[in-house]
Amino acid sequence: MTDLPYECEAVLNKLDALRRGELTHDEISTMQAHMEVCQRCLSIERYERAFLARLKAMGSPPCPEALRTRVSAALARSAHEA
Amino acid sequence: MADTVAAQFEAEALPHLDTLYRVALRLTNEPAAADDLVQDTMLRALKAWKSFQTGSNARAWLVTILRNQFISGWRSRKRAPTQVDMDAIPEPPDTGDPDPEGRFFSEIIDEEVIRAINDLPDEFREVVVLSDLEELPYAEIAMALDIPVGTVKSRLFRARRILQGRLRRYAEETGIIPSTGEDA
Ligand SMILES: [Zn+2]
Repeated sequence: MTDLPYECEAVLNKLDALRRGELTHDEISTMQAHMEVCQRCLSIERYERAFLARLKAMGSPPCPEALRTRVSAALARSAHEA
Repeated sequence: MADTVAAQFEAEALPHLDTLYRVALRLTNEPAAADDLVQDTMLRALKAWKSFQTGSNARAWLVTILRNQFISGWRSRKRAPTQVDMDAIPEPPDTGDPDPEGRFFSEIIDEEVIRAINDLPDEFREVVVLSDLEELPYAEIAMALDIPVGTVKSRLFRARRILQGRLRRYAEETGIIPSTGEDA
């Protein structure tokens, strides 16, 4: 884990940027070419994709209305005291 | 005067309540404690509002305050931080992987995913929560946690490996995927 080959580290460092569509065409082809021959990076890329999709599927609960009301009331009290 | 300041604060801070609530929930793992942490954070932020630079990132500033509140007030009550043996962080198996696409992730129940995140040491949990659950950009996470972007990336990388290893073990133990029988 700590002794990854330089090329692997470069690829793994850019996986998020790849997923976020932040890379140039050249960068993308370099990464793809590497993953065609490097089982480890390919495997990590697939795992991350599946893992992130799983986290996304949990949804994001909003702040409960009761807490929102409580916070607004506390802020109003505090602003008054100041 | 006080009303104007309070109004400015509310206009900048209240839009981030959802994020603050979710981060607080994942840090404390208790809805009641998360409520208190969010309220403490907002009160502290209102008091410190003068020190906020207009035009800078309010969300990162608020997350910093929330995290500081958590560390000083809440973390001390929890178990001692988990020690992670870095050498023991599993990598996905190279060959003979029965599930190379990681399909098993989708069969794991929410509770188990949340448990795995909760069990991460704080420094790993906070980057996973901010990046992978809240989808904050690296630069904003670096600002909120006051660490370099490179550290955000390397912690995130390790945190994901720990989580993936743990969820994979869970999937093997519960028969979602056959065990690869590796004990290294
Ligand atoms: Zn590689």
